Amino acid sequence: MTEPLIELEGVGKHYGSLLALEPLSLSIEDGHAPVIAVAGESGSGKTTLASLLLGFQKPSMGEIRYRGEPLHELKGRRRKAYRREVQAVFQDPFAVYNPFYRVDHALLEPLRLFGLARSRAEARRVMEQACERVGLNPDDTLGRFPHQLSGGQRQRLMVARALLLEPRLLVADEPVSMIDASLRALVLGSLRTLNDDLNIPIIYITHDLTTAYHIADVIMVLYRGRIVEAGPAEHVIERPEHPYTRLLVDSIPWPDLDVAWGRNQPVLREDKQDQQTEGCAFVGRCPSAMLQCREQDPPFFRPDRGQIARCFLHRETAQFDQSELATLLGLREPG
Amino acid sequence: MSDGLSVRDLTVSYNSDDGAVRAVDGISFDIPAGKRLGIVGESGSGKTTTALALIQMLQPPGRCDGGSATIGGLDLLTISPKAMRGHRLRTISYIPQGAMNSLNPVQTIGRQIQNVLVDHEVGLDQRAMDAAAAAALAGVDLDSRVTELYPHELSGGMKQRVCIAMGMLLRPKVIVADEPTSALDVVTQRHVMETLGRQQAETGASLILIGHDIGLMAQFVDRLAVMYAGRLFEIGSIRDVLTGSRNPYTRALVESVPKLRNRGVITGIPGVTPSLRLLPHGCAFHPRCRLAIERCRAERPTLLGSLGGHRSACHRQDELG
Repeated sequence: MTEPLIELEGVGKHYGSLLALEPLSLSIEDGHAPVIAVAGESGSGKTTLASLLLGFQKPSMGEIRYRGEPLHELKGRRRKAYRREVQAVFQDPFAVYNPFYRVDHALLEPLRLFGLARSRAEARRVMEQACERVGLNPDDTLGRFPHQLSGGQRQRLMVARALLLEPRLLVADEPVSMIDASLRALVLGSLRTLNDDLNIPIIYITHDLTTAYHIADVIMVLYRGRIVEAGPAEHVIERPEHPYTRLLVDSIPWPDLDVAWGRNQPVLREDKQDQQTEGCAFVGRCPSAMLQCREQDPPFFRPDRGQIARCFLHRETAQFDQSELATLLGLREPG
Repeated sequence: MSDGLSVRDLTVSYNSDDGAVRAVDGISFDIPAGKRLGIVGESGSGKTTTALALIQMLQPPGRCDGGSATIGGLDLLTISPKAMRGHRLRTISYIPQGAMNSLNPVQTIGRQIQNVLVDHEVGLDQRAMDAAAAAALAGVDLDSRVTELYPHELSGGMKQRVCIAMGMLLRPKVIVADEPTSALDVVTQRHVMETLGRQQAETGASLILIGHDIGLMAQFVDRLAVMYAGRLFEIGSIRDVLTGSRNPYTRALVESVPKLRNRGVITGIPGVTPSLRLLPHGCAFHPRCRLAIERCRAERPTLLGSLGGHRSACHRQDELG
């Protein structure tokens, strides 16, 4: 059996006394390619998860392995292979370009570093292919300076840059939050194509459930460093089972005059940010909180074969074993 | 007409080495007291420039070339800078994008609120000012305890609500909110917008909400204006514009927004917004427009329809809608 591409075993992160990400076990294998949205508000741990996967930070507990080897012990060629196979697209398509260089530079540099093109002509051909894959016309794009392109074009070019390296996993951290709404669709479309055509799993980190709903196969909702709900995107958005997800979904401003804002639940005052040690992390804001919720941290329940929710409201239903998480997220065949 | 804000032929240019460019090109609209107008458009469409012109905060090389913006007989565009200073917050308040970053990090919130009262010579004693600050914070769902805190002790949503409290303190007649929630998550966004909406309804102010989130507009405004390349492309009731648009650009903009029903259908507007320096002839949108005909390349469409009704600038608007 081949080793998974990336394996998280009990990986968690503390910043001082703050638990930013609760221990999580998950493996991403070659050949299974869902788009997984990781959604949550500021401080939910979503960016911490991204930076752990990208090796920017060491976990405080547990271990991350790349093809069987601990990530932070990788050296030389293996480390380079990891750097090539796990690619990122970041939030800000303005800051990532050097304004003095033509945008080609951002594509040529990785080609050179990883020795992926033998000649100028080959480099050009590979770059053109990558541009076309993300829906950019190479003649209108290559040879330009960053300020001559729109935010959407720059971000699609960043997707093309990741693509050049034939990655096996793409981590996209809020890739469209700084782009005009009218151009977001094009960036999301190019991510989707990448996933469909090249079978590359995508971890899509966002606070925006509308884009998550449109691009992702599965959604994982984080709250204060914990998964509170996870499952197929249409279940999570159309029939949310955790009160926090319900609050999130209900707060989406849909561009639909017949779907009024917040018709189901009043907005609650902010959390007092007290570090509660026992019980459910959401109990302070939850409209359905019960005595049990203050005393005990709820396990995962799976109300109806769809998503899982970490909430005692579903205590009558089957408990969910976290070792099945990878299967639920479509990262592994069931059984 | 003394109630509400009336903007006529507002024109703003930025001087550059290659001559002046029109960032806002003769736009007109009315907002009756107590009503909300949304202005949407892509980056560079002139929506923020419009807002800055209304409060006389354009920075050179930007300058207002003409038009008027009257409220109760007062033209905000022509009064002296000194007079304008007195009218900011009292007559017109501006809540900018990331307003929370405009709070002074080394002063308590209470002190900053009182600065407004002192600066505008409201003439209250200390006790009355304390009470006014506490009342202003209560209006945005914040505890009076917040007066003693510094900005870094508050969350983003709380800071944004402090800015709303300060903006509303003198009960202005016009509020201009420029993407007030763009950096906030959806739950906080809803809380901030509900707070802003409640305050505006209580004071009967006219409100302009600038942004690019059509969803937020659908949930918040009465009328919607669509800007493109400094020009007003369409304006009408939110329902007219969202469901019966007579402009292909508006239609494309609305279609590009993810909806609850059409999961997985992702459409965008191909092409780039034109540089204001090199605007296409005729309709500024024609290079990206699916319906463009010869006339669109030759002749700039005018905004048709009655002021206060549904107006669109498109040669083919009769075929739409």
